[in-house]
Order: sequence, then C-alpha cells, then structure tokens
Amino acid sequence: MKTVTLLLIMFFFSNLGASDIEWESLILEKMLTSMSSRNKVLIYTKSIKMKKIVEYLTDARVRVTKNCKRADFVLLEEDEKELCNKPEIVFNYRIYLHNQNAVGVFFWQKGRPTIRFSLKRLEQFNLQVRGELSKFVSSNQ
Amino acid sequence: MFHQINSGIINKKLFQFVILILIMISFSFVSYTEYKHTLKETTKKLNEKVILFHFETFSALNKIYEKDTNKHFLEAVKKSRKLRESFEDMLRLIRISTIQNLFVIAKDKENNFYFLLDSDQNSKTRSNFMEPFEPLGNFWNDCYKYKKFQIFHHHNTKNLWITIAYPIIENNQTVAIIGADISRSLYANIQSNLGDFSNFFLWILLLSALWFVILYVLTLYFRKKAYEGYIDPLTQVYNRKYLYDIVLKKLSRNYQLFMLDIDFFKQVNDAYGHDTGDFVLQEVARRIQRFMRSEDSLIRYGGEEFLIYTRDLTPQKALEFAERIRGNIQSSPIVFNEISCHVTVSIGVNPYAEKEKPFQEMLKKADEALYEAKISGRDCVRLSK
Repeated sequence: MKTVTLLLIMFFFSNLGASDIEWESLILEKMLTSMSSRNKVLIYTKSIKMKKIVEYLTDARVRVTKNCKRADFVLLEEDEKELCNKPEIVFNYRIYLHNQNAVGVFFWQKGRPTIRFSLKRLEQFNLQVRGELSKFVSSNQ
Repeated sequence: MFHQINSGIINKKLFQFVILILIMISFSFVSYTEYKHTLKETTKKLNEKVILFHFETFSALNKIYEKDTNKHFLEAVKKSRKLRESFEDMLRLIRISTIQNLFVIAKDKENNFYFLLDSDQNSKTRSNFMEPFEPLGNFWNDCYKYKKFQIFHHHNTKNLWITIAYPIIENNQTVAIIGADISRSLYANIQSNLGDFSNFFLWILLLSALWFVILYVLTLYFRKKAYEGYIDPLTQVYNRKYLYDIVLKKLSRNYQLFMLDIDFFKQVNDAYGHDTGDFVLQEVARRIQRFMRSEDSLIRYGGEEFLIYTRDLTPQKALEFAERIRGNIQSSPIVFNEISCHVTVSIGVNPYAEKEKPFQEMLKKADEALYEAKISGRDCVRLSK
C-alpha cells in the first residue's frame, strides 16, 4: 500500500509536469495534514529552502507563523537548535535519527521519495498519523 | 470545345491526383507503422541486451558473496563493518557509468526494506547501513517472494529508466536483493541514436512525396501539351490529327459522318480579306457547336471544310440535325468589322457508316454526298446512298 500511495502521488504530479519543489510541498502538506485534524495548522521555519517550499502549499489550513511558540510544527532543513520544543519535520535522515523532536522525515533517496514517522516521538507529542500516510509510521526510532 | 476538353482533363487529373495523394498517404502510413514497429523491436532488443549484461554481472557478484560469507550473507554483513566496506568496494568495481545506483537491501521483521550496502561514496547522497529504503513498485516484494530477478521500467521518475532487482538466495530463501537503477541517460542515448535514423527516414518519405508530386505535375503538363496538339488554333475545334489518332480508335459500331463546306468561301477571302475569312471560319464553328452533343466531335478537316462525327442517329435524325445546322448558319449574316457576310453551307451526310467498313470509304461517301449538295445549288443537305 505504501508503494501504491507513493506511486499514485508520483504519477499524478509527473503528469502535471510538476517540479521537485511542487512535489516536496505536496508531500509536506500531506504529512502536516495527516498529523493534525484541526482547521488550522501553523508551521514555522527559518530555512530559506523551506520557505520556498511553503509558498507552493495549496491547502488553506496550513499557514506559516513567524512565532515559533505559536507553531504546531517546525520544519528543519539543517541540524538547527530549536528552543521552542515543538514537533519537527525534517528533511534529512541523519537529522531524523538524532533529533528527538523529529516526528517525521521526508527525503529523496536514490531518486525515490522516502517518508517516515516515528511512533515513539509522535506519542511523545500526542500526535497520530491518520489516513494514507499512516503506513509510514515506524516503531524503529 | 477546347475549354470542355480542358475541364474534362483537369477533372480527371484532379481525381487522379487525389487518388495519388491517397496512395501516398497510405504508403507513408504503412511505412511509418512498419518503421515504428521496427524501432520498438530494436529498442526492446537493446533493452534486453542491457539487462542481460547487468544480469550476468550480478550473478557473478552473487557467487562471490556466497563464497565470502559461506552462505551466511545477511548475518555476516550485519555483523562486520569491514565486510560491508569490502562488499561495497566490489559494488563500486562493477558499477559502470550506465548504473545510477547500485545497492543491496534486505527486509526487516516489519517487512520494511532497509539498506545493507551502497556503492555510492558521496556522503550527501549515500544511503547508510540500516537506512530505510522506500520501494517504488511491487517488484521488490516479488523478487523476495519468487526468488527470481525482476525488472521494472520507470515511467514517472526523471532520472531512472530501469531498475533490476536480483535476489541473493541462501537455503532456498531470499535474504537480500541487489538493486541497480539504470540511468535514463542510457535510454536517452539509445533514443537519440535511433532518432537520427528517424530523421533520415522522414527525409526519405518527404523526398519521395516531393518526387511523386513533381512526376505528377510533369505528366499533367505533357498530357496537356499532347491534347493541345489535337486542337485547331484558329477555330478551337479538333484537327485532322485528332480524327486519326482518337476518333478512329473509338468508332461506334454505327456512326454518322457529316462533311460540311462553306459555300463560296474563297470569295469571302478575296473580297474582305483573310481576317474576315478567319472570323467567318470561327463563327461557323461556333454555330455548328451549338447543336452538338457532348459525345459528338467537330473536326476542321481542311481549309473551309468541317467534319462532324456522331453516333446513334437514324438517317432521318441525321438529316434533321444537318438541316438545323445549315439553317442556323444561313439564318443571320456574320458581321466582322462592320462587314456583313451572308454565309451558307453545304452538307453531305453518310448516316450509314459502320465500324466494320473502312473509314476512308465511309468518309468518301459523305464527301460524295457533299459534292451532290454542291452541284445541286449549294446551301442544302444531301444524304449518301
């Protein structure tokens, strides 16, 4: 099912001629909305690349905040020291392994999009992954 | 008459041209279909060659792994970092430029794939030991399940063309998979080379089409010129060459010949000049044509002599036809440059002409009837006996 989900996303977007950044924003959007059932999902990021990806988000529920403390999720591109202790989505597997706040990771590996959620860390933040991405929750980390 | 002929020729030619174009389109379509089929087959064979080449390499690699780990590949690789490094060196040795990624993966207890080995040395792109591997396509699971190598053609990814999954089997169980991503650049390279062939093929088709059109236009031009040779330039009716080349070849079983001569034409020429004489000839030809059917032929036989070829007329009808022509010509004077000429014609008719009999004999009878009309006082019609 994981394969089917990823293939469907890839097929849909490759047919639309989507760029990498559109791809990444779509997957990010899916990751964020699958972890929150609220009407508004506030995200915070300092990364320039992440800010660009965020511009492509299409779901009106996902909004950007400049205040880390108000954010529901923090997007981390590099291994930054974040003080507001919020659940993080990271884009590097190495950071995901070591950052205890990283609830999810999305990265490209050998040309394949890879998504993982950490069950332990999700529970730590009282979060749950719903819908089609629940298949990517792993108990290993 | 000439316009009639021309329009006939052009309509016929237009029809032929349409047919020719249709044939050309069909030919081009068949050729292109055949070409595409050949191209597809060639691409398929090239792909198979590429796959076979990699398959043999992986088979050899598998044997080395078996030997070096004494058929305990997974355990040995998991335990020893040194062994992993050594095996990754081997992967790098066999990784040729067409392989984008070359790695070995295995499955954990939760049935998730993870990396064991990766030939990539770049710290930013390499996948480390135990990192998750996200399979795209079910062929990885099939490879595990069926213990047979699998080939997957990528359609939705930018850089990957084919992925080969080769199982490492121990005790009749798949313990790991050698994965190789063949770069799309190889595919692009093959397509680019075949593309040159496509251009060549299209040029051949284009030149053939052009050659067809040139040939057709030339044929049309020469046929038009040939037809022009059958037309009398003064009166724009058929000439005697047409009579012998065309009419004689398509004679009806029963036909009629009308020999028509303008009375005292020499006097018109002498009194009013040749321009007037020429105009009289043209006008007489025009007046005759008013009564003719499309299947009849009017031929300028000599100076002021015309021959009419008809078919399917009874002697009575032939006589009436000739009388109508004679009456029409003499009914009103021919006016040219304020000169009014009262012109009459004499007509000799052979209504009994038969295809089986010599044409010259049939013509002679019409001519004899004309002679009779002349000696009977002119401006009259006589039937042959």
